[in-house]
Amino acid sequence: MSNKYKSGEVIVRAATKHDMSAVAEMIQELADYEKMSDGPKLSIKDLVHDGFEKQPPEFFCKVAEKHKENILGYAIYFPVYSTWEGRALMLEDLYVRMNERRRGVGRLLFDAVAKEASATGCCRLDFHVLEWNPACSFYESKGAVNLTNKEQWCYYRLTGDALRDFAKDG
Amino acid sequence: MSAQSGAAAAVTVRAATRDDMPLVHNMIYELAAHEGVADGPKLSIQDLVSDGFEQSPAWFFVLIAELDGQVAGYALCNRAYSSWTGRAVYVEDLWVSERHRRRGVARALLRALCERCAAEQVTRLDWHVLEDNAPALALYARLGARDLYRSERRLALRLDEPCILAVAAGHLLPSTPPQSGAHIFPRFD
Repeated sequence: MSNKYKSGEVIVRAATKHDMSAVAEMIQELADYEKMSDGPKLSIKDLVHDGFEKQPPEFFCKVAEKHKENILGYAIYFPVYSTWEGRALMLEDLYVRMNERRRGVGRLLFDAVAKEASATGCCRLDFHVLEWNPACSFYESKGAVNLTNKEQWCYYRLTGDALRDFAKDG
Repeated sequence: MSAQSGAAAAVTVRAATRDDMPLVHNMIYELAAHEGVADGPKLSIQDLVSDGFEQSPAWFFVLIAELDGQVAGYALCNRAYSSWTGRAVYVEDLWVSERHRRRGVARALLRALCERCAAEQVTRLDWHVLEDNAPALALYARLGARDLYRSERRLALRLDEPCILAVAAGHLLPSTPPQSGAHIFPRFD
């Protein structure tokens, strides 16, 4: 059975554009895991452009790296805003490769994003998770509150044809 | 929420300026009071001006709806990103003042937002709504919006500030076995 990585074996750092090939692979793996394999539509070039060429960048990314070459996992996040408490962060993706699970990599990535939230004065770190995802226990242990359960917040999305049609016809 | 065809034409929507922030600040409190948490908002007018108009990049943008020469409502949004589809927008607040209800203001705000999304190739518009907000749910159904919990079993989770600080310092709560149905999430105290 896998055991935890020793301190310093795996580091978490800011991604560079050269990591986007590995990140694109893992975005697809995450979609496969969520049983929504045809979800991802972005190319490596899109990610490089959106994350590293546009000013300001559309997203921020951290990767977990072993031995200066193997990327074991990633996190994508971006700034959001609460009209009650101000600056906040949304954690959009958190993923660890299947063969690297249960070795403490997810925790390293999550902690790094939480540190960034804390360092930039954010009042909140928000994220979404599929209800059946065993990661719920992990988030529980971090003190995360399930807003859907606790406050009956429903998460809505307008996309595709519905978005375009409403824009046209109002 | 009905949309009167004549009344909808009287609503105009524009981008907010820093000079609108006092009114937006008022409406943030109106919304909070409406949700039963009148002391929820902690931001000052200056916070909104600073975060929305003095930081680069801005932390949010606001659309203002006007009706009969008065500010009638607002939508406060931020840029977001989907690793699947790229640029997205998140609507943090959508509010119409009580005296301007049922005049098509929310619909006009959402339409303007969607026009802006379409023009900027934004392919996803996300927001949250309280389950018991019947008029809002009725409007959202007419937009073709989908509830991600119903369609994907996707839950909204939040790590509040005390937890952010605890996690940043390396702390963990003990694991609890999942209850029947959804997970119960304990708290740091």
